[in-house]
Amino acid sequence: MPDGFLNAPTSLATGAVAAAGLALALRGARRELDGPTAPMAGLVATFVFAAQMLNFPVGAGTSGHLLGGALAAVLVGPWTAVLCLSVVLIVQSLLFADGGITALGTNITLISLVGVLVGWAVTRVLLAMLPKRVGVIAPAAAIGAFLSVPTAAGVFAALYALGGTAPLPFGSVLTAMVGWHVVIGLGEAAITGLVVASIVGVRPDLVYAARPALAARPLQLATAPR
Amino acid sequence: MSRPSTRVVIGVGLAIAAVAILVVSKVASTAPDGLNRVAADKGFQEAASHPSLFGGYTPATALLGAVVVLALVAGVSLLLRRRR
Repeated sequence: MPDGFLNAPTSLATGAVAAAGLALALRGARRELDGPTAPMAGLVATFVFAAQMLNFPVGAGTSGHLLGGALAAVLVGPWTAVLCLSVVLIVQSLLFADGGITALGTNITLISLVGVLVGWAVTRVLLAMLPKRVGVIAPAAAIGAFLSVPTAAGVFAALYALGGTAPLPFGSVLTAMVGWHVVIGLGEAAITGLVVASIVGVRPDLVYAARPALAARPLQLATAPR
Repeated sequence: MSRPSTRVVIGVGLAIAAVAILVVSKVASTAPDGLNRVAADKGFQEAASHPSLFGGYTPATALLGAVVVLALVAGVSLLLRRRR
């Protein structure tokens, strides 16, 4: 989101939410950053930075790009994912004017906090219901990824209703935002499913969300190289 | 089956990101994304302002940006790990 869409009080409020979320993430990530998660975090952030630049067409002269919340949370854990995505958004904003500077709090709130929260929560709920096998992680992550995109779009519409710089009816912004982002969410699901399936396929022990399933089969865990 | 080392997985992943920046970016859609499309349709796109420090992405600056992201996240990860 560029500068100018939301007024100053709303931007300050989302800035405070983003700062609080980042502070919590810095604490929470300490518990996640053991073993392979630390090197994976660098890879995940770099991959999301690259992927967010690559817009895919969704028809009717519109494009979408990865947000990456579910992808990052499944690979490195939700708190580390918030840190990874926030660093991506900060670099985009400060170095490339891709996303406004006063909009940074809103972008972190929507993409980093809402995206990770919804993507991770949906994936966790699905994994709790499904058999403890690593094969179900990528499909679960894809569904979490899919739902995270229209949810973040819906939260944007709510923020715009609270503090948008043009007086527009909430329903019309909400319908348009969620409508486009349901389609974009399909791309988010495809990329997330593909990447998670690839890493689960070669090294499931590098995938944060695979830990419970791997703990259920300790003999195979022992064959993984360091 | 022998599994690739962590170093290989990270290296291949970073190589894919670099290829995406250098090659895939040339075929990426330049159409407005979902938010900008809605902003244009609903008439609030003109409110957007883009204060630019380094300008937009070129393959070279994007690659540099990716290195900055990698260095920042690796640095924060190491610091948090050390303080545990």
